[in-house]
Amino acid sequence: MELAELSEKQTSNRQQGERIILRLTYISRHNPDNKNIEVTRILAQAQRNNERNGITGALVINEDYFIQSIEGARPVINELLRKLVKDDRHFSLQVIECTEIEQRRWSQWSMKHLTPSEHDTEHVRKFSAGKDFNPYLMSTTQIVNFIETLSEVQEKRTSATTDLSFQ
Amino acid sequence: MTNTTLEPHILVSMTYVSRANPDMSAEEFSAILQQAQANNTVNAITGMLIFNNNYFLQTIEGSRAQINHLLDALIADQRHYDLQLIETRELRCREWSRWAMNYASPTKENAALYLKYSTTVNFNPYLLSAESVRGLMSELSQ
Repeated sequence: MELAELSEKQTSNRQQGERIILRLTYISRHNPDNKNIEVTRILAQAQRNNERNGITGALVINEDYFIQSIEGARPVINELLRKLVKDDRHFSLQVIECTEIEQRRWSQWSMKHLTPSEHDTEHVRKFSAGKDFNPYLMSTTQIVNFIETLSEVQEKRTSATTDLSFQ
Repeated sequence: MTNTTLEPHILVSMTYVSRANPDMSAEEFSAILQQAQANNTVNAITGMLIFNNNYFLQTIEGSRAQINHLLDALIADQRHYDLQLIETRELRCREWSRWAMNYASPTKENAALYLKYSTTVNFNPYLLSAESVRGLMSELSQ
């Protein structure tokens, strides 16, 4: 097969399955050589790329782990997955769930940033068998519900702050 | 992950589609299948493989850590390209527990089944939904 033909085939494969919205959730660990991961830079970069590629999602960052949910067209999500697997800013990536969805959950966010604070130990405990937070020991349902809970808590907190500012 | 005792008891199923390199021979394919069956037996991975019209369509099931190790290897494997995940989900129990890797070939008897789930004459799994893939695999193995 000629190269031109091959690349044409690849392009057409990318277009196939475009109508399917896929949500993929994964967990990973930070690279320990990279103690000060530049969260702001990672987020800004993700948000810029995602906006261009029609990807939405949520990202939980704590001291040791990432939990991320990304949603978009099936070929686009898979292209991002291949990049994520090769990204050396994190390791031991595990796909937790990958499922077709009728509608997006995070459509308002190119990447919603969630950080469990000290106040959130209660939510960590709610979804963990042990004392410490470790997503590698959590089931799919626990991980998905943990993201949901953090998002709800963060929204309540934001609206509380907004209310105060109007007083 | 080296310490498997720290791994939770979580079974997952992962389904992907990919394209074989255009120059793949029948010998090369049967070597891939044999290698997969041998490795899977050691790693307690089971599943189902369809190879048709130069496309791979595969479901693998096993522990979450093992399946993700295999995904890394599959993404790096130069014998196919454009790997796309169709579905990954947690399982209560395996669906292919009797096979280290069950295999369905594109025979004349199977042709009607491939068409049953397709809008096209030529089989193209990139067009299939996760639900159609599940149905097709299940019927092909009967």
